[in-house]
Amino acid sequence: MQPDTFFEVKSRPVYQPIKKRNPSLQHVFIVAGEMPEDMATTYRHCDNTKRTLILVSDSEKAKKTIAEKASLLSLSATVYVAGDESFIWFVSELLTAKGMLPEQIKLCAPVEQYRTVYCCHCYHFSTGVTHSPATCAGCQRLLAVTDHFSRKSGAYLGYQVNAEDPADIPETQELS
Amino acid sequence: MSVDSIAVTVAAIVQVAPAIREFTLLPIDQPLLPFSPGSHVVVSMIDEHKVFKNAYSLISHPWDTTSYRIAIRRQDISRGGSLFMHENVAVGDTLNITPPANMFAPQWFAKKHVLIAGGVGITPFMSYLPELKRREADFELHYLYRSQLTGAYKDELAKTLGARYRGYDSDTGERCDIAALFAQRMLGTHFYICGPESLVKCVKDLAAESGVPASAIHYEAFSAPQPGTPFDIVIKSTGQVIAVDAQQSMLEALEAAEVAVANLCRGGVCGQCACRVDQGEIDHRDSFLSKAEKKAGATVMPCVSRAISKQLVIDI
Repeated sequence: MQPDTFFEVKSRPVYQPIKKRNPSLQHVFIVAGEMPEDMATTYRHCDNTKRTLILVSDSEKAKKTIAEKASLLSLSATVYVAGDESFIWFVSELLTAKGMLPEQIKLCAPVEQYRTVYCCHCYHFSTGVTHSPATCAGCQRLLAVTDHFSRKSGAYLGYQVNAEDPADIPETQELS
Repeated sequence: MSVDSIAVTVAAIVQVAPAIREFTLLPIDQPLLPFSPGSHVVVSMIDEHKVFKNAYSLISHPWDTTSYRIAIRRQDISRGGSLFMHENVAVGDTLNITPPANMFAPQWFAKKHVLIAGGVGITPFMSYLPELKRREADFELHYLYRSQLTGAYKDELAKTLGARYRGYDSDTGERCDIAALFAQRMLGTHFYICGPESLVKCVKDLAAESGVPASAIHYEAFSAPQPGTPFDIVIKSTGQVIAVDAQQSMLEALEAAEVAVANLCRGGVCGQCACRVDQGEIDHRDSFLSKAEKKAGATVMPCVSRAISKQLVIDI
């Protein structure tokens, strides 16, 4: 049985190409990995006195940088974020906690298709998941990877696919 | 059980500014409810010829269930509700009010609250203040008034709020530099405006120019239904034709004809009274429907909107 086919999942983010938020007087670009083309275009369109580029290697570095520099962000600031999906939502949460509003945070579509999956049985986050079902890195259960996405944790919900019958394992599908 | 109407007695009437009277309302047969800051009640006023129903912000302490207080500015050029309250209502009279509803609650996640009141627009903020203080929230109040007409409670506000209060009396030439209110603000600052539409528009425009995100701006405009050209409502299901006169809102005409339409704010904000439109051209005057919905012309908010065509067929 595939319960997800019975209703439309609305929590999966839909990313639009990012554009410069024109009235903003301060544009901050936070990038982990390569800068996507739409962000590069936006960056070029910003006056170089009003733009700042912050390159970080991972979420922890982003957290440290935001903690240090948040007081420099103005009420009119816009932050553009690029990286993998879990990273961009992690940064979005940090910025929201600092008081930024949704229209001030622009998330670039993640380049990679892999997902972070939250196991609803052991609460472990498995990273780099590309197929469903996937083995939970925490409890080794075989998880169906759903499209239910949590913006708070930047992860998709996974639940044990063969809980009733260990032998009933659906065909592996590549996640899009 | 939901409560549609609460009978109250007018216990006191106080002139709190040259054009503003404060009414204290006591319950008659059921206790009053505590309410959230920014709440309003709809007061029904029964004249010889018609029933006025106007929404007024509660200005009393949100936890005080012994009485409610409202403050009403006399509007000489209006459809008559405020004039009725000023001229016809006396201590000891009975009025009917709805239970409190709230379209203008504070954003409690905000790190700073900047309140901008214009004239009688001070009223919703009167119920904000006790809770902002109790939560030890960071806030400031900018009060724009004309002392020859408005400015209710200005002295007590100045005294109790100290440095968090700034008053601007345009009758003595004091002006508020609204653009300056947006300068040097920290992230998480939210702005609240209550006052005439011109003030709301001015603050919104200047905020946009300053790059302040639109969702940091919250407002409650007085949008009492404005008069217009008479037209007819046709009820699709029954064929009943109801005339709406120039001074009456569609909602009032429907109520006068005993056609029940659920409603709450009566000011084009909450969306409760939405009616589907089958035929006819709408003169949209509400703040609830999106531009696209207004263009589609399939829904009308009868509390404030009217018809451009001679007839509006509604599907209720």
